[in-house]
Amino acid sequence: MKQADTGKHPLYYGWYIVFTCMFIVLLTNGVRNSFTVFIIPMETDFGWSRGTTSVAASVALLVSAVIQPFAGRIFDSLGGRKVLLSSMVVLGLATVLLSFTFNFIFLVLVFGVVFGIAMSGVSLSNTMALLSRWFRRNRGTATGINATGLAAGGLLMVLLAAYLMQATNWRTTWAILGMLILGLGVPIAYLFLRNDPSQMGLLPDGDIDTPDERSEGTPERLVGPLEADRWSQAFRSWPIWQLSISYFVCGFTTSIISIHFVPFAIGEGISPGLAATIFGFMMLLNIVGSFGAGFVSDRFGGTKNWLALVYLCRGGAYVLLLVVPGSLGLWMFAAVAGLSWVATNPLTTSLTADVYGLRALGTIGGISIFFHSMGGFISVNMAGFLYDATGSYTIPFAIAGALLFPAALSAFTIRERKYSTRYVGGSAPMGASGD
Amino acid sequence: MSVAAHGGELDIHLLGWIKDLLDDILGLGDWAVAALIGAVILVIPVVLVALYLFQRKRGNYDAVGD
Repeated sequence: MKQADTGKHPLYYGWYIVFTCMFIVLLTNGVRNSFTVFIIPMETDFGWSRGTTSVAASVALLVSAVIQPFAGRIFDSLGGRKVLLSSMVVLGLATVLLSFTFNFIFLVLVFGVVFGIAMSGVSLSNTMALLSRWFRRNRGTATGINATGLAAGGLLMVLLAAYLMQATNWRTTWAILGMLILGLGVPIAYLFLRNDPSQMGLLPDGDIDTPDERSEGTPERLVGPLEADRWSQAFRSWPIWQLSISYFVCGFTTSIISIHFVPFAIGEGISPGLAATIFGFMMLLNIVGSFGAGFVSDRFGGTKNWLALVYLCRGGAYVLLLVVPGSLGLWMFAAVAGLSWVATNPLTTSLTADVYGLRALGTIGGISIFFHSMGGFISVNMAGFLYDATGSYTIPFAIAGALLFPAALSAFTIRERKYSTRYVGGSAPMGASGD
Repeated sequence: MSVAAHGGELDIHLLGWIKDLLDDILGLGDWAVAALIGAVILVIPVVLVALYLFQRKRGNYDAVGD
């Protein structure tokens, strides 16, 4: 497919990739999050305990996190199209297979292992790595739109599953969700996904390669001082550690709230309905925050400053949650934290791509996601343990809030101006990185 | 319970609250609401394909062939 030189201004093909990836994220993460809806019906049918079903969910989470760097490595070798397409096919088949669940081992193997492995192939880090190939100047915006699929899928797909469950049963619902991935997601991905703009005779962002630029060297050909051919090269430098450590804190501080926010609010004397409303408000702000963060970093530059600001705001939100009593504190927390929730995704990916280039971005992004997942895994369990020990969420939330300030400092001290190709090549947006 | 991940988790209380709200506002059966949500999900691929075909008809893209 080539953009014809007709003198018209067609939509840059990269935007098709953006919305295809967003749709993939919406479908796949939505189906994974729908597991919540299946817990009670499956427990009732098989006589399982809550702990039993939680094992399957935890295995899926862990498998996905551990496999993530390897899926990224395969992405770097084979390209995004093959990895995303094959992962979606496996994911769709595994989802259909779940409708045949007959015992606990089957659930753990299919949902925990097969589904978990396939999820690592269609993960946010792989779709973001793909989009980073298609965009340079608008990388933050493109990855920000992609990340909105998380919140949209979490809402729409889970609701769809809930209504299908009421209309039919859990077996039919799994089958329909799987068919949606196979019948809708796979064809759209097959039709639109391409590995690289060069495959279509295009340049990133839809730029035109004029003879002048050709002689001067276009920004797309710039190589930063830390450009990495292998992930191990990247991890011999500071910026990736600064990004990964702050991403660990990101996972720590978002997962703890995902699981414990509503119980905390109810414990504060708030009704379950109001607690759920506040949580829903926070989720809607995810979409605004994700898109907004990517857009402002593209428009004004200084990605690491925005990233630091996001962590700082989230830290402030935790302080509000602990200091301001009653529903006011919860609303204030939701407003500030909601905007910062997914905003770290496009900023971290964009900065990683700008500093380390695209050759090993899938693997590097996968390792970053691993850090993020481990943060989440530790925080959720720590909060549960401390709640049991103290009868309060004050200590775990205080720990989470306190970690966000060093995370902000870690992001802020990244020497973006020195290492990012946006600055090295003199093609940065109007703003400054400030280092 | 919610499966921990970055964003996109729907708390079970929130799910119940949204379902009640939708049932009150729409007053439709389960299948009808499921079809409605399915239609909303379909918007993205339908718009993508329509836009692509429109652009292609205007001659902005050649045939697929990478």
